[in-house]
Order: sequence, then C-alpha cells, then structure tokens
Amino acid sequence: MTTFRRFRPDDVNKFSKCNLDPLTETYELNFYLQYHAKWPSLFQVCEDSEGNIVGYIMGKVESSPDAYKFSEHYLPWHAHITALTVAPEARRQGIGKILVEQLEAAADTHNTWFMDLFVRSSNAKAIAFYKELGYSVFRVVKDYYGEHATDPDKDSEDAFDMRKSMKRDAKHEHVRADGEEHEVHPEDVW
Amino acid sequence: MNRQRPRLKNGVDLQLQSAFQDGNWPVVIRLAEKRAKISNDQYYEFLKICAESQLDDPSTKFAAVAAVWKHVKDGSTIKDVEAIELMEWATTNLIDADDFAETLGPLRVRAVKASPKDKFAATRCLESCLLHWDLASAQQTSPLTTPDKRKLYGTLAQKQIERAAQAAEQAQDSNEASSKAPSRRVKTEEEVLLLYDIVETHGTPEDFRKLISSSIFSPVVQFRRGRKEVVMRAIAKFSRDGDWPAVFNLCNDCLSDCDADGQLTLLASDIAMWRHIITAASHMKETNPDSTNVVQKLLAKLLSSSHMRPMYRRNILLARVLAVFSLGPSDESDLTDGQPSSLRLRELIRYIDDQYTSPACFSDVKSLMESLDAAGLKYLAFDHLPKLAEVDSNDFKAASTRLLAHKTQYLLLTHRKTKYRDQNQQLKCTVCDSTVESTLCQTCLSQLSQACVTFYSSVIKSEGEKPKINAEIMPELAILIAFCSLNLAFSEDQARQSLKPQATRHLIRALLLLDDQLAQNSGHSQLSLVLTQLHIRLGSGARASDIWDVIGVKRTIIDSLGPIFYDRLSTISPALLSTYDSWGSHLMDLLQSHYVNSLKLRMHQRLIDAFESGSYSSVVGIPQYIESLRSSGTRAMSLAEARRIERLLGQPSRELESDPRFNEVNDDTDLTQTIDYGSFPSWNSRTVQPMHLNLRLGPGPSNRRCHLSMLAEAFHELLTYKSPASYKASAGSSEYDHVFITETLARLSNSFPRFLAGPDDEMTQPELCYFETISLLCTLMSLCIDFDRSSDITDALHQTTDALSSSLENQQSQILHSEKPSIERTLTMLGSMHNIAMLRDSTVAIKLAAQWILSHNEKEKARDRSGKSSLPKELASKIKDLQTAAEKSIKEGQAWIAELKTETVSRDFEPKLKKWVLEDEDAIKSILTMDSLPGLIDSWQLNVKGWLQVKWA
Repeated sequence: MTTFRRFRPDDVNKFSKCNLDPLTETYELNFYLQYHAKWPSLFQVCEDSEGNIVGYIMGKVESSPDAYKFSEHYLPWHAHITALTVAPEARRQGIGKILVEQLEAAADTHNTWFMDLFVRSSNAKAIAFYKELGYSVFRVVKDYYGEHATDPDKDSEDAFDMRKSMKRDAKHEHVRADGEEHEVHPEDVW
Repeated sequence: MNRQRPRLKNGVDLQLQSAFQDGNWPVVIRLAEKRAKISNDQYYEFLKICAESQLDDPSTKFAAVAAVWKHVKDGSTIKDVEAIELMEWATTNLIDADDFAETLGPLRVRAVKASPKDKFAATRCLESCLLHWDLASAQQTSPLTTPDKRKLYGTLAQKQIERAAQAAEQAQDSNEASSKAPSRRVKTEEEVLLLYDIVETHGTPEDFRKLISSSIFSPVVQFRRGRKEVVMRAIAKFSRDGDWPAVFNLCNDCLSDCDADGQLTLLASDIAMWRHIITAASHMKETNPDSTNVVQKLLAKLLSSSHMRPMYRRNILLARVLAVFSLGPSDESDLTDGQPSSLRLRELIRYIDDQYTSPACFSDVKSLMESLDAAGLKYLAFDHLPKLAEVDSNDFKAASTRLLAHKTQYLLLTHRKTKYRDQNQQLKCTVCDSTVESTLCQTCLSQLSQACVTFYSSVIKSEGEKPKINAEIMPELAILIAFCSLNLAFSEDQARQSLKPQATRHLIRALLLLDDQLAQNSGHSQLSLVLTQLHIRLGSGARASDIWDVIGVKRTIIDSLGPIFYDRLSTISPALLSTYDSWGSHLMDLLQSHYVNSLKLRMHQRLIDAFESGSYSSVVGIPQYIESLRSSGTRAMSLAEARRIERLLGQPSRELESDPRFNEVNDDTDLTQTIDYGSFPSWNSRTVQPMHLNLRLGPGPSNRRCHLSMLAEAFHELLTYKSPASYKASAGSSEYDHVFITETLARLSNSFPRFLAGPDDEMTQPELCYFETISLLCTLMSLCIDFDRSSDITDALHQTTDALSSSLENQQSQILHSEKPSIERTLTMLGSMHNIAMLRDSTVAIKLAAQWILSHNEKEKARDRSGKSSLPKELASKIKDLQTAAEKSIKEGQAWIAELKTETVSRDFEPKLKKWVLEDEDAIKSILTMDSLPGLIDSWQLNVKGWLQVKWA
C-alpha cells in the first residue's frame, strides 16, 4: 500500500524504515535540503499507508564545470542518481523501478542527454537492477571507494559509472557498449 | 554561530590581507587606521573596528556592536556593502539573533536603497536578511503586522501571478511562434504550484474555479504533463470544501489517464488516490449510486493494464478490498455456519490468497482485519491462514505463512472485540470461552506462546532454506514470542511504572530470547529497537547503548529517533553519557551535533538555493521545517538530559542561559514531539496500547514535560551556580544577586503551575512528584525571601513544608517492594533507577533550598534585629526538619547503590538469577539458551559502577 510523491522536509522524521537499514547512509540535514531546494522534482519518496517512507530517490541535473569543456571527460547536461533506497520489507515490489522511471521522466522534462549513477563494482544486485532498466557501464572509475564492501583485504574498490540515454540522446551517442574497457581515475570525475 | 572569516574586498593591499587572514589583529588595526587616513575610504574604518572586536580586551570587544547601533540610531547609511559584511561577521554571537531586524537588517536596506542599481548589494542584502529571518528587511517593507497590509500584499501577489498565468494562456491561444516578445509566464511546475498556493490563499472561490478549469493549469492537464503534486493540492482543497463530486471526477480522470498509445499510465495508481476516490464515492453513495459501479469498473480496467508493476498491482488489489469495506454492505455477519459469508471477508481472503507471501501483507491488511467481526477475524487467524500454510511445500513459504497466521492470532488476542460480558457480567474470551480478568486472555496468550515456541524449535531443527529462514522468519517469530511474554507482564502490572517481580521475570525472558536472536542477526532494526527499550526499562543502559550504536541513528534522523534511546537515560545510566568519557562523549555528540549543525543560522542556508532555483514550494517548506526543528521536543530533551548528567556527576559545563536550546525557548514556545515509531513491530490491535508504548520508561517528551524539565534545570542552576574563580565580587553585588534570585524565583513560580496543570499521563509519577516539589520549593523560597511577620502567610508556609514532606515520602515509597534482601529486591531496585534518580533530584533540591532559606534567615536576623523579617522559630525548625529528611533520604539512596554493588558483583548473583528466571511454567523457557545472561549482568554491573560516581549532595 504505497503512494509516490515529492519529498517534503518533514519526511526525514519518517525515514527509519529506510535509514535503519545498514546499507542506507544517513546524511546531514543540509544534504537532503540541498536536493529539496535545488531539484525538488528529482527528490521523490514512496510512503506506506502509515506515512512511513519506504523508499526514496535523490537526483540532480548538472553538467561539468565550464573549465573542463574541452576535456575528454567533460559531462554535458545530464541527470544523476545520487541515492536510491528501498526499505527491506518493501523490496521485490518494483518500488525501486518506479522511482527510477519517475526520475527519468523528470530528467526528460529537464531535457538532459542521459542519466548516470555510480555503483560499487562488487554490488552485483544493483548492477543487475540498473541493467534491467536499460543502463550500461560507461566507464570504470578505478579505486573510487576508499574501502572494499566485501573484501576486507582490499583497501579500495572500483566504481562503475552507469548510464542510460534520455530522449534527447536519440542516437545513443552518450552511452557505449564496451564501457567496462574504459578506465578512468577518480580525479577525472567531477 | 561559527562563521568563517570573510575575504577582504578587492584592492586591499597584500600586507593587510595577510595580517587579517592570520588573525594578527594589532597589525590589522594599525594598517587599517593608516589606510583610512590616506584613502578616506569608509571601509578601512570598519575594518579597524572589526579588528578591535577580535581582541580579548572587554572594552574593545563590543566596538563593532556599538558602531552598528550608532549607525542605526543616527539613521546614517553604510554604503559599502562589503563593510556591512565585515560588521556582520564581527558582531556574530554578540548581537542577539532576534535583534538583527533592528540592527544589521535596516543597515543593509539603507545600503540597497542608496545604490538601487547595485545588484550585488541587493542580492547580499536579501540573502543575509533571509538567513536571519528578517522578512521585513528582506522585502524592504515595514513588518506585515496589520491585516490590511497582509491583504494588500496578498492581492498584489495574486495580481502578479495571475497576469503571468494569463500570459501563458494567451500565448497558447494565439500562435506562439508569431507572438512578439512574451511577458513573464507561468511555466514550470514550481510556478504552477505557487499559482495554486496564492490563488487558494488570497483568491475567491470563483478565482479557484477559474484556475481548475484553465486549459493549461487545470489539475488534469498538469497531471498529463507528469505533475502529480498539482492534483494532490486540488484534491486536498476539494476535500476540505466537501466537494466530493469534484474529488471523484478528478481522481477518476487521473486514474483512467492513458498514454499516447492508449495504454493506462498507472501514474495515479497510488493508494492515496484510491482512498480519495473511494471516500468521495462513499459520500456520494446516496446522491449518485452509480459512483460505486464506476469505481469497480475502474479497478477492473486498471488490473488489466499492460504497464503493471507488482507495487501497482498490490495497490489496486487492496483498493478493491477497501472499496468493498467502504462501499459494500456493512450489516452482514462475516461468518455463517463456520464459512465466510460477507462480501468483505471473501474479498479480503481473495487478497490474502494472492499476497500472503509478501512481507508487507500483514501490515497491509491489519486495519481491515480489525474491522471484521470477532468470528470473521478468528476464522482468518485459526482456520484460513493455518490451512494456507499447510498447502505450501516450500519450506520458506510455509514458514512465512505460518508466521503470518500466528501474527494474525496475536492481533485477534489483543483485540477488545474478543472479550464480552456474559449474563453474570463476567468478562469472557470469545476465543477460548474462559473467564478473563483483563483485556488480554492469559490462557490464549500462553497457548499462542506455546504454539510459537513449538514452531521456533522445529525451525531450529529443520535443514531447508536455513539462511533465509534465519534472517527473515526467526527475528519476527522471536519478537512474537517475546510479545506474548510481555503482554503477560503488562496485564499483571497495570501501573506500568514500577514492575513487580513476576513482570520483571517476563521482561528478562523476552530480553534474553531477543538478545539471542540479535546475536544471529546483528543490526536487525526491529529486534534492536525493542531490545533497546527492554534494556533501558530493566536498568541495563550499557547493553542498550551497544545495540543502539550498531543501528547507526545519527545526524538527520536523531530528531525523530533519539528519544527512543536518550529520553530519561540520564536517570537510568547517568555515567554512560558522561562527556568526560570517550563513549559517553560519542553518544552525546550523536544527540547534540545535529542541532548545532542544522540550526547555526536563524534560517538554513539552503533557503537561498531554493530562491535561486525558483523552488517556491521549498521556499515555503524549508522555513516551516527549520522552525519545527528549533522547537523540537527532542532538542529540548537533549538539553535536559545533558544538564541532569552534569549535575548528577558533578561535571558542570557552560551556563544554562547561554545555551540556545534554553534561551530560544520561552513559556509560549510549543515544543513538539516527533518520534518515529514506524520501525517498531506494530502488531497489537489498535484497541490496546502499542507494545512500544508499554515498553518505554514513560510518556514521550511532551511540551509540558520539556518545559518543566528546563524550569527545573533553571532552579538547580540558581542554587548551585558558582562564579568563576577569576570573578571578583564588587561592593553591592550581593544586592544584585538578591534581586536576581528574587526575580528568577518569581518567574519560575509563575511558570511551573502553568505546565503542571494538565493530565498526569504526560510524565511518570516520580517526575510529576519531582516537578511539584521544585514548584513548591520556588513558592516556599519566594515567601521566605521577603518574609514579613505582620502578613498572614505562616499557614501557607506550613502547608508548603507539609506538602514537601509528603511528596518526599511518596517518592520514597515508590522504590522498593520487598524489604528482605533477595534476588527480587535486587532486580526491582535495578529496574527502579529512574525512580531513584528522581528521588535523588528531589532530595537534593529540597536540601539546597532548605540550606539557602536557613542561611538567608540567619542573614535577615543579623540585618534586622527586630526579628520582623526573620522566620518564626517553629517554621525555621520545620525547614530544618525538611533538610534533615532530605539528608536522610540521600543517605538511604547511597546505601541502596552500595547494596546493589554488593549484590550484583557477588558470585552467586548469576546462578541465583538464572534459577529465578527459569522458575514457573512458561513455554519460552525451553528455547532460552541463557547465552545472553552474562551480557545482561555485565551491563547491570557497569550501571551500578556508574551510579557510584553520582554526587548525592
């Protein structure tokens, strides 16, 4: 029994079902308010019949700073998924898919070229989830994360930068099939 | 407010820049003075003043403040906006936040008016005024205090935005390409929401009707552009107005909306939307009977959509059940001849049969099951669901269905519907037909507990799908068994405040089982939350803190979850939160840093982002949230807890008055309670209290309790305040002290009764006694300060001292149940730490107040030899008796802690406890491993050790 709607600041008082899950990070208020203030239509929640938030997605639209305009790593106007979480009890119901699709619709409204996101290379579930939604690896950011999620012997982990073309990129010029072959360093990512 | 040092403006030479950045203030003063003389630039004069304000010398510290006030009073203008920035920085923390609107705000407005074309000055003025929440200066208007002015600005806003809306409509009507340069139009979703807000607030009903029938701005047109928020605004407005046909039609249009391919979009298929259309149809049932058919056809049509997702399907299936419950016949019996007969029960069974494997199935249908009659609910719980579990061959599915059946049985047993009075007026249980003594049938609960324990044992022994069952079934099953035990505890102990030994035994058993489960499922949120409450309730704060730390409640969610762990923790385990210790410091930092970080400025910095991005709904939403956070009960609680710990451990920190959590609150501030219990298992029927409310130590931090706690802290500070060693009292300062004490007591005497009046269920009994004691002490001290034998207040004083004695005795009587040393006595005392802490605070307050009165009386005797202003001997002796009683109580308290130490560290404590826990018949015993018992004992020992640090006098 759920309802999808925009985030409101007092939703943070109903975040426990999502944020007590060890896989979901809780940030400072400033972080949530920044998304709410700058990109309100890209911060969507899913609430249950008691008003508890059982899923949310935070996104933004941006491009790389102009100073990097001629860099090969320059990112044109695009949307980005910053956080996506679904409470354990609400998983396997397609809530995540609906949230991503709603963000994609908003990204099209903002006339973006593509949607991108970062995911740990060891997070097979998330990678499969995004692939099913049409995302593909665009590049591998070496040693992007400071620690490895599953291997305590490693002190870093790669990130997959995954992308999906939005309507504006009708020719799919901003995605590639062999993204896993393209490695970049964290300093190339802005 | 810790604000970064600003950058000096362009053109300032490097030498001065670096001196400023290095904080080399004497050099900055010298150089700025020099530059001011040479350049005649006002900026350098202000730079010099700001540098002077950074010196430790008290005579120069307020140079910037004085300069600001001087300019405000002179009516002069500081044209250089960067000079104002410097002054704003230099006066941070020195000018009260509330004074901004009378100081820097007007100075900023004057600067903007002096240079109307300077966009930089205007923008900085707007930003600063918004962040200081000085709206009058931000708008460059006088405050909108009168209704006339509010109406004027409302009308202006409406006219402006309606003009922009018309421009958009006209552009659409005419051929857009051929139109000349368009005027400002309403385009974005945020602008449309603003349009709705303004027309709804300031417009007439006719204006609103015009808006919703607009070819561009009507909710349905907006919905087709993917803008659902506008629809929800319109529905909310129609519902408030009772315009049900409008709600019905709008929901119907949105739910049946199709995409370009003619496929249903399902975008509106939220449960909220379904509830709206069903509610509207129920209101229209009499006038428009066809509305029910429309809803049913719509449901059938949507179920066949090709865009279906499991979540939407669940919503639609559930909406179908909701529709039957709301729109179908309401006078049918749910069961006839042992078989489902009502449409609603049959429809509910249809839903359950489809969705019973979903982990959310129970919470989805819980309220609907509760609406059934007792026979219908009993059929589901004891007949239908157990049979469904038998059908499944898959181990996990069978186990989860069996768990669902047991949860439904538990729901039934906690429902008041299952109890009735027979012809002899005896309360009977409809489930087992036996006579019961309370709302809950102990026979049935024991049987359910037995059935769950059998299930638990069989799962432990089984081999199939073990990891999944261990992770998803066992924690909930353990909680269910624990809840049966806890219900037995609470039904025996109606007072809920101090637990009797038998109730304590049930709590310990539940705790041990859940701790065993948590060892298998570390960080499980439901287990962790229930266990945190249980450990605190039993006086085991250290283990509670370990569990709490693992679930990572921090930052933004501390406001809504913090009270679950921290509320009254200072009364259970004061040393646990000592900031002199790294663990305590870490725990207190988790609680307090959120408010420091989020409320640095009067308004949050992100409001500026909202303005810059044109996010008008955020412009409205952010200030509302920040104001509610500022007046949050958790924030007030964080102060009360911190202060009590400091007092109990004798670790004073800064003055209460300088704490924003104290000085931003006055008696009229409504401190709001926001606790997120959403992650607790909510399995009790709504006809009885939820388990998390039974388990907590007392009611949450209400407005009254928070105010009373802060007033009590102010009282303690008044009597225990010691001037810093460096402070030298001047002649006559004792007179000022006297005035300060008199006025503070008068203020407290005035405030206490305001918050003491109200229902008793907003605080624990010991808290109520404690607050009443302090209120009485304020009255007593006020009367004694300016005592005049000629006035007739002696009786009042006698009555007050008598009331204080009774209050003390009352609090003492709430602590122990058994006089003889025994395991029961030890456990009762361990579970009574809250009562002991409140008694300690009351006795210390009485002792301090009595000492103060007697010392004041001695001074009065010496000052006024006539004896007219000193207390009569009999009264003075009564106050001495009060002091003696308090001292005796203090000694008693210290003796209890010493006794607890001896008992808990003794070698036979663990075997005695183990034997005691396993006494009596109870199914749960067979699955207790006792592996968690040493952890509990360690936690108690640590707690008692911490209590040995408490200062009693």
